[in-house]
Amino acid sequence: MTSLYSINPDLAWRVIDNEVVILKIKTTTYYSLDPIGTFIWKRMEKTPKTREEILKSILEEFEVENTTASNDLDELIADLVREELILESAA
Amino acid sequence: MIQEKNLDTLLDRLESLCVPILGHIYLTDRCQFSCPHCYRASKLIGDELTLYDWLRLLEEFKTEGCMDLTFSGGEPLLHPDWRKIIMEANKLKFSYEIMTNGFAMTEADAEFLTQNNCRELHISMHGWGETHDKFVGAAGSFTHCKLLAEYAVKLGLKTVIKMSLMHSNFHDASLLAKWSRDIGTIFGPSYYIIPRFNSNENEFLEDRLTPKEIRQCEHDYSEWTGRPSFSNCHDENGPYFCNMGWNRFAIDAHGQIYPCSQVKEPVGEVKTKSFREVWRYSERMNELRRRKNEKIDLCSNCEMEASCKFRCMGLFHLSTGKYEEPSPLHCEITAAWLGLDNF
Repeated sequence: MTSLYSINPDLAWRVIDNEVVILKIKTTTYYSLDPIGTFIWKRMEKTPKTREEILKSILEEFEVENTTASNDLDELIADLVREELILESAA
Repeated sequence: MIQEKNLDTLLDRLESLCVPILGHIYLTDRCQFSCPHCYRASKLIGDELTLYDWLRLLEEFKTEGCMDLTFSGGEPLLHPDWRKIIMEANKLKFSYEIMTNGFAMTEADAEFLTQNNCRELHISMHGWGETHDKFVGAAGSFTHCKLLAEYAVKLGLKTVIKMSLMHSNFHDASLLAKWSRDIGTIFGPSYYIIPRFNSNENEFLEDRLTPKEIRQCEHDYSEWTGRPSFSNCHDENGPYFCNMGWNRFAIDAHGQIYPCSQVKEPVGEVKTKSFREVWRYSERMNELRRRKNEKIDLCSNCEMEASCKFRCMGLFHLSTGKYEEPSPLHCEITAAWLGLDNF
């Protein structure tokens, strides 16, 4: 089953100095994403995206091997889902 | 790729970038009450920003990087368009809290705030029963606020009960603390009373806590609130000029911008200028920023300096009209902590 990933609507976030700063309102916990994480985050800004759609845009934007990008993306998605910063739903 | 940070770390980083991460909005000057201690007491009614001004400004705050807003007043719920402004703030992904006296607030308003992701609701309660009603000058206010707070907690809205401690209501602090704990709110008492440097209406200062009461409060504070008391809180400031205007700002109901919520000296206005213009290019704002870490000579020569927690230049300015000069009343509090009652 393919999953769609979207930004949790219960968050405050801003892009500041090329990094996303995220505030989880209910717990007042702050997070920041590095420039690559920020690029991935912004892909999900308007509409939910599948892992494959995000991976494709990374490979188009950065000079990186498919395996490396794929592994890094999986790691980031797992972290974001675990911290409830993005939501996973069925496509 | 992802890093969890505590608020202080984040604020330090954003301060170095001069991002106005925290904004304090004095939405209106209107208030039903005339609490004696209120430092926002103002006769300036009218000529307030319109809904359309606020909608434009929220967008501008967001563009400059602001994430967190405090709405207060006056009484913010007396602004005719407060719900529309809150809805827009939520839509623009601001985290926000509201400071209210609770009197005009209904259960439906509490439900509205819950649905619109309000981070914290602060309700001012200055005593138990008639003590509170007398303090704010409105019969029935205590009962209304009590029921409202209990309802807000039931809704899952994080609620803070704010109490200004004076000699005349001090005896009720433990009652409010117990009730607050029992229903699951946060209790936030304070005895930082601010004299009005530009007014003769300072009779209320006679009702400030005695040194003995201050020490009693310090003794009971952790039990009341579960947090360290004022004299035990961590404070790395001063005696140096603070970081006002580096990562925070305030705006009043007339569009005047301030470098923090305590300062009453405006550094620009946003009725004819953009927020970006004032935040980035206001000459006065930049003058104040340049003073960061400037030594405050008056305090550095004080024998109580090591114990003092009043190192807020905004508080100095609010009390005395000068950034470099603390109010003797705040020195008096430090003296009370140290047992120097004849200070």
